[in-house]
Amino acid sequence: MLPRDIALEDAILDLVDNCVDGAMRQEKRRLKQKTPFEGYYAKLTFSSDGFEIMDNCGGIPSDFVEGAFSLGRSDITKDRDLPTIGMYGIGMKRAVFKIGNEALVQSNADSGFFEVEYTKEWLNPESQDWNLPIRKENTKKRADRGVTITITDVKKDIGRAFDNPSFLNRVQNQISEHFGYLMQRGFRIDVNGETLKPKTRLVKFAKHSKTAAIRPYDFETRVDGVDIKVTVGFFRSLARESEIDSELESPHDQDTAGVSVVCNDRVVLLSDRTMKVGWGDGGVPRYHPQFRAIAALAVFSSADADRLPISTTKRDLDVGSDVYLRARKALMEGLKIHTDFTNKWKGMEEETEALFQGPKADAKTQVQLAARHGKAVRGETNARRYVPNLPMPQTRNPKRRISFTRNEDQIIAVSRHLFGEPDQKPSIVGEECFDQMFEQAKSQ
Amino acid sequence: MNGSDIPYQLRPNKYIDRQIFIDLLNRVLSERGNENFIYISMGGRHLVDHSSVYKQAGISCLLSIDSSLNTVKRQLLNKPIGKTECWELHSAEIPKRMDDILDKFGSEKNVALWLDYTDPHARLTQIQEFIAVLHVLQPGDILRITLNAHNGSLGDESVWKKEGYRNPAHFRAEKLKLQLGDYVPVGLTEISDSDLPLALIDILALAAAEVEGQRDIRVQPLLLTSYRDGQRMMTVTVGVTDLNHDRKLPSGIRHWPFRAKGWAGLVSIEAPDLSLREKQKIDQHLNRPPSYILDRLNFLPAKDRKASLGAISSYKKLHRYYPEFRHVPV
Repeated sequence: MLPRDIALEDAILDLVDNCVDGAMRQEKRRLKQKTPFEGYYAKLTFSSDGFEIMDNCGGIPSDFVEGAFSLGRSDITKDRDLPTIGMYGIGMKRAVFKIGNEALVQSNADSGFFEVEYTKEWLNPESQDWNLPIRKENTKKRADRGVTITITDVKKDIGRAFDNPSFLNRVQNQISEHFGYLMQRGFRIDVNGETLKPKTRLVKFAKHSKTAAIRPYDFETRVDGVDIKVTVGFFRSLARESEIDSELESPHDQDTAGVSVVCNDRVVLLSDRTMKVGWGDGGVPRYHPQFRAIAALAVFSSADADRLPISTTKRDLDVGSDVYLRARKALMEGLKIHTDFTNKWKGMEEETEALFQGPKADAKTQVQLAARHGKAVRGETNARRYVPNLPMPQTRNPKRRISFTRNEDQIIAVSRHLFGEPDQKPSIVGEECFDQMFEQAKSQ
Repeated sequence: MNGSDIPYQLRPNKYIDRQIFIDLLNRVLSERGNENFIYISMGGRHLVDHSSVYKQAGISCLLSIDSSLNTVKRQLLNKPIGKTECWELHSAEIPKRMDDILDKFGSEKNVALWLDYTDPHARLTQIQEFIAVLHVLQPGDILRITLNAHNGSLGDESVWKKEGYRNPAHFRAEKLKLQLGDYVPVGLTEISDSDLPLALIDILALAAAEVEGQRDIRVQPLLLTSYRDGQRMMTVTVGVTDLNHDRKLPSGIRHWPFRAKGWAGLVSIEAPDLSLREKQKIDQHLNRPPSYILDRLNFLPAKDRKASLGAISSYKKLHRYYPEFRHVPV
C-alpha cells in the first residue's frame, strides 16, 4: 500500500527528484563537468483545479515502465551505477494519490512514447481493478524527450493549498534549498512560470593569507570511492549576549545555523544541530543560540550512488557508514574551532563586528581552501585540511560577563535610587551598580 | 529620550495614523454596533489609544496589556472608564488568554486588537505572534499590527559593497531574509530605499495566507499605512471573515479613500509641518488643486515647488485628522 500521509511538499519534491534523475541518466558521461544539467528543466504549474509537472529530462526508459506503473515497489537496483535518488514508481504514484483523483502521465523517450491514465475509478481505494493500461507507441511524439504528469481532478484541500500563496512560497523555498546545488549546475526549475534561484550555503570568506581573518575550516578527502568535502564557517557576525538572552524567550532571526549534508548535489539534511552531525560530541559543545553564526556543509559525491552514506530507502543519512563517519570527524574539528572562537570572544562580540564585514562565498563551489592551501593529513593518503587562522582577542585583560537576576520590585527600587526613575533597563541598573562599586574599590 | 517618550499628540504622523484607524473602526463597527466589540491593545502608560477608542469609537469594553507591572500600575490610574481592564500580560500570551478575555467581557463579542510593536530586532517573533493571534480570531474580529519599517534597522547599509552585495537594495533584502527566512516572498530580491513598508506588507500577506490555509477563514486587508515617527513605521489592519465571504469590503469603507485594495493601496502619511495660520490659509482653498493653493501662499511649505505641491496634496488628504495643539491649564 502506498503511504498517503506523506507531506504534500515532500510529494512534490519526489516528483522533481524524478526529473533530476532523468537528467542524470541523459548526462551520465558529463556528470563530472561543472554544469552538466544546462538546458534541462522541470516546470511545475499549480492552481486550485490542476497540477502539472513537465520536464525535458529524457522520458521514462522503456525498461522502467512496467515497474513505474505497477502498484508494488519499484526495482531500486536499476540506476545502480548512477547517482540517482528518486524512483519513478513510488514517487510518482505517491504524488498522484496525494494530489488528485485523476491523472495522465505521458513519457516521450528515445525508445518511444507512452501514456498512462489514472482514472477516478482506478484510484478509488475500494477498487479491485489493479490493471493499469499502458498505451505505447514506438515513435517519439514530442520534439523533446521528457515526462509530463497532469493531474486534473485535484482534491479539494490540496487545491486550496495550491491556491495559497503561503504554501507556494514554502514549496518554492524548499525546492530552492533541496535542489539548489543541482540548479547551480545548470538545472532549471520553474514554478508557475517563474524560474527559481538556488539557495546554497554561503560562509564569510577572506582570501588565504598569513594574517588572521574570518575564513572557514575546509577539508577534502576520498573514502571508498566517495569524494568528501567539509566546510565549516561563519555565515553572519557573532550573536551578542544580550541578543542571546532575549532570544531564549523568543527568536530574533530565523535560525539557519547548523550543518547541511549534500549527497550528489541533493540536500539530504538541512541545518542540523544535533549529535548526528557532531554537536555535543567529542569536545564539541551542544548547539546553543550562542553558536548561531556557525554553518557547515558536508558534501559527498560519487558516480556509484550505492557508496553514498544514504540509507536503502534513499531518503535518510546512513550515519554509521565509514564514509559518513570520516566527514563527521572533520565536521567536529571545524565546529570545535568555531565554537572556541565564539567562546573566546564571549562578552566582546561587538568588537568583532568589523572582522565580519567581508563578503561571503559559496561553501561548495567557491571555498577551495583545502584543495589550494590545505595540508596533508597524517595517515590519510587523500585528505587535505585547511585550518583557518582566526583572529583572537588580546588575552591580557579579557572582558567577562556578569549575569544575574533579581525580582522586579528590587530592580525598580534600585533604579529609583540610582536614576530617580523606576523603569531603567535592568541591565543598565546592574551596570551602574557595578561601576559605582568599582569606583569605590579603586579609591580605597 | 526616544520617540515613545514623546506624547503622541506631539507626533503628527503617528497621531494622524491613529485617527485614520479610529475612523476605520467607526466605519466597520457600525454594522454590528460598537457595544459588541472589545478593544485590546498595548496601551502604554497613559492609555491614550483606549481613551480615543472609547471617546471617538464608543467602545467601552477596553483591555490594555503590558508586560511591566509598573506600567500596569500607572495604567490603572489613567483608565478612561472604570471598567477598563489593565492586565500584566505579554503579547505572546494573548492567544492562550483569549478565552479569559472573552469570559471577562462577554463571549458573544468581537474583538478589535492592536499589536503595536516598535522593536525591529523582534520582527520574527512579532510576525509569529500575528499568526498566532489570527489563529484564535473569529469572523467579525479586527486585527491591526504596527511594525518598524526603518531601513537602518536592517543594519549599516553603507557596508553593502564591502560585504559583496549588488547594491543597498540587495543588502536590505538579504538582511530581511536572514531575519525572517521563509516568511519572505521568494521573489523579493531587492528592497528600494522607500519600499521596506511594502516588503513587510507582502510578508504579512503571506503570514495571513498561512493561517487561511489552516483555518476556514479569510483575512481581508482593510487599511495599510506607513508613516515616519522618528523611524519609519508601517501598519496593517485586517478583518477576519468566514470562508464563504465574497471578499467585498465592509459597506462602511467601500468608498472610503483610505481603504486597502487587496494587499495594495498603502496610505503614506507625510503630514507637512504647518502653523495654525498656514492651515487656515490652505483651508480657505481646500477644494482647489494643490498648484492653485500653492500660488495663494507666498512661501514654499517644503524644500522646493515639487515637494511643496506634494505637501499640500498630503495636507488636503489628511487635514481632517490633523492634531490641534492647545495649551490646557489644569
